[in-house]
Amino acid sequence: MQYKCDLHVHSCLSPCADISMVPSELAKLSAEITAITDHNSGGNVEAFSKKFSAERKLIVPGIEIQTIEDVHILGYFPDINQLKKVTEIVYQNLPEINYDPEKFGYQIYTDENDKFTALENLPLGFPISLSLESVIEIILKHHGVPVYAHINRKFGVMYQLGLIPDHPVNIAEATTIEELGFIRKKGLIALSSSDAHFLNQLNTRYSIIECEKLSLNSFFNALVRGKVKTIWDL
Amino acid sequence: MNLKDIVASLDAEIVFLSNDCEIIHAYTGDLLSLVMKNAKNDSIWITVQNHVNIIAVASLVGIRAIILCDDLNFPSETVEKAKSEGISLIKSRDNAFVVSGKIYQLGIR
Repeated sequence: MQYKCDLHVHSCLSPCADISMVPSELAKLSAEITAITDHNSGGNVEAFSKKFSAERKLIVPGIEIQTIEDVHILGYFPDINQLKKVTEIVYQNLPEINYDPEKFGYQIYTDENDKFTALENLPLGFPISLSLESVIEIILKHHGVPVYAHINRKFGVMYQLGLIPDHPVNIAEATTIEELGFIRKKGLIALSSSDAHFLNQLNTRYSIIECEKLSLNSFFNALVRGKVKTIWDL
Repeated sequence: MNLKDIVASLDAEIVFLSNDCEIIHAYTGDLLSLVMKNAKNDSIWITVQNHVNIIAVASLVGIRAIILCDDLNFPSETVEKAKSEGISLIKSRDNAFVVSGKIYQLGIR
């Protein structure tokens, strides 16, 4: 079966995302397979997961971690409990500052019915004190799949470091057809995702994945085998 | 030294001037975590990082102005945020080494 997937979407927990990025809106508008990838947190994934299951859509538990080198790396997890453990580690390594939501943006936890349950006061939009290498190691140790986000854009690995380092990462996200060519030339699997922070950005980019059924297991099997087409392959 | 006087001594253009404040210190660097740790209040920040998050870092640390080097441009999102936070933005064709040297020569530490 072919499924449309958008593997880089921010919820209202990300300081720079709109407060309209809540479970019922996303369940209505987003792809059949959606990864919620908030900045430095997996805290809203469970609520989205419940809502999406009710709509017969699939949530991939995810996170977008900002390393000490200011590189954005995505982690996808087959098991939400592993994501929770990774989130805990990330929280322990965030800078200790007074978080002013008026200045930096509101970070809102929601339940599956779009009810705002709490505010996060850790500065999720800032770099953590761990290197790219250790973050990749942490993702892998928790059975996750690391993916380089928007490699040539700001906070992308190429933009920040000028090269693709020799780390065990096999997948990278392209935002342009040029990036797509570059990623494939490097022998990596390419994804195209929206990186949506607002509802109207959903589905601006997506990928098509070939998997047996709509389940996390099938999804991960297909992803690591590269059974995925980007928006430029269609 | 006043910000306008600093800019006048550089080959630089003002993108947004919040107010002509006094600059006491300067810091050069592109890693947000290091800037957060090491830059001082009332500073001018010399960098090539132009993502909107630099404004959050600047207002957190008390940086008053940011000089973007190497003829790079501030994205509109960064300019909007700077206006709302009152952070002045300057751009220069010189690289960070040259800009830092010029500012150092003015006696700013």
